Amino acid sequence: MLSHTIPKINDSLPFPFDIQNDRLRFQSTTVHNQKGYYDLVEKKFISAQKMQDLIDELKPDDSFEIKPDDSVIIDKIKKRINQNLSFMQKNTRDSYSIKLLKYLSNRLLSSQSEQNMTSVILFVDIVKSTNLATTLTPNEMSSLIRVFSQEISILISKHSGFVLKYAGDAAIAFFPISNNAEDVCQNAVRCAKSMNRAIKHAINPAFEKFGLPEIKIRVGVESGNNQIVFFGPEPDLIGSTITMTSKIYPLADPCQIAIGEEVYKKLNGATNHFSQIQSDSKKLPYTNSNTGKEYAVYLSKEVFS
Amino acid sequence: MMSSEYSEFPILKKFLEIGNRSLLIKGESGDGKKSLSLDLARTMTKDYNIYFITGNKKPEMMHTWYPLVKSFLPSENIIQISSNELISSDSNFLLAEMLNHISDTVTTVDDPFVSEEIPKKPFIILDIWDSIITEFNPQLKMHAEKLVTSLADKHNGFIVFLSDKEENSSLEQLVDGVIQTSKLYVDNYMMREIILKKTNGNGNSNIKNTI
Repeated sequence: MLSHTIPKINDSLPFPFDIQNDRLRFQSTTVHNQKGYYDLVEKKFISAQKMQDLIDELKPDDSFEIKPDDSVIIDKIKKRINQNLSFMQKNTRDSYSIKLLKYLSNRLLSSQSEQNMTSVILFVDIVKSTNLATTLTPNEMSSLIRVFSQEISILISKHSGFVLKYAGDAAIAFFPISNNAEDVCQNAVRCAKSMNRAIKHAINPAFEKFGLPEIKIRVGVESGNNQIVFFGPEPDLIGSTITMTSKIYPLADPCQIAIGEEVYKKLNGATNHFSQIQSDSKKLPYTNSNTGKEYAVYLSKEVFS
Repeated sequence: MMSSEYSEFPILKKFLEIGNRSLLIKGESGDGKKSLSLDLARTMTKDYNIYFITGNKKPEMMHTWYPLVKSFLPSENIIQISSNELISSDSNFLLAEMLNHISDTVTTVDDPFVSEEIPKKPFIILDIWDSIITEFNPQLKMHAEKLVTSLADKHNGFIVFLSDKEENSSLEQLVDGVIQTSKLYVDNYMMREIILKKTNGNGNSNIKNTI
């Protein structure tokens, strides 16, 4: 029943995939003379205008990439972080945008449960987060993680991806592939670059203002098949690609991007931004089942520190 | 009129903090039931939104009589059900209206990109309970009591029944705590006495405190 009401990603519906007509989650209603939607799960009303603003901010854009000199986007991120960090001493929970993005991700995966999904997988984590956890107060640490999670989630969505899950200082995202593998791989790599630049030019300067330490991330990207499964109430992905990506990202230095050979092959002109790991100590002890050769991993030449 | 002595009574503080959800305060008119309930509410404002449901006091009267409550009990949280409504309306309807008012408060998304504050739980003081259930037969009365206490459970809140009735056995069984208030005069000084007849989680009963 559920799968009939939920459009698939390749149904060509614009983001957020007809969610306003999702009767399981939203009811059209009017509150205080404002038209909008009542969110049945969050038990909150969101005006139609605010919903539209939210969608505009999150909707995928194939040309999107944060550049170091893009002051409009960088200032917008800084402003958003400042607002969130001003609540640092209060007990807070995720913003509405985070909950909506997680819902979209779960809804998509649930509609294709137990099926194979070809996608690009992206792992991102904060380097040396144990040091942060031992030096910051619990409130400071949770605010830092919450801001980090929100900003990378927005970037993942802007680059046509979905957050699969958060794991403390790390997040896993997937970028579904239908018949546009090259575009999706390039989007995911652009997303990794945008993340690093957002950290350097917006997140760290905002953290400094609130006395929080700067953070650095490692990102790993690879593409392939995974199966959508349910472990408990939430959908998950399991398979060789997600496992391989979890092995690839620790090979990157802080502020660097590591990509697997399946993504590398689809980067076309952008391959000269990456070089293959030659050091035996860093090579993965696995073979690629497609080629039968040792698994090649490539590191970005640019380090975004 | 309000004092802070009640909330200094450590067993009551513990009673609120260990997760109990309901309390019956009974005593004759003028024995300090309202003052006690509002004083308890005042100590809980960090985690709770306070609601006061009354039959005979307009919000402005409440604020005049108990000026200290203004800081934690705004006018919109004082729900007045007039005596006319009590006489002319079906009690079931009043009950439903009252529950809707508390549980259907719609919150709105102000800024979807800003972390949300964890919402406060409801702390409901029912000053009007005796009037609502006066026409109920015992079965209906028990049903209504269960309905209201389950509302507190559902919203992770706390509910306080104020009652003039000496005998209220079904409600006394249902709630987590029962307090009897009374007043006595010693050398022309009026003293208020509260007896904790039942306090779940404290392991004691019939503890007396005089203020």
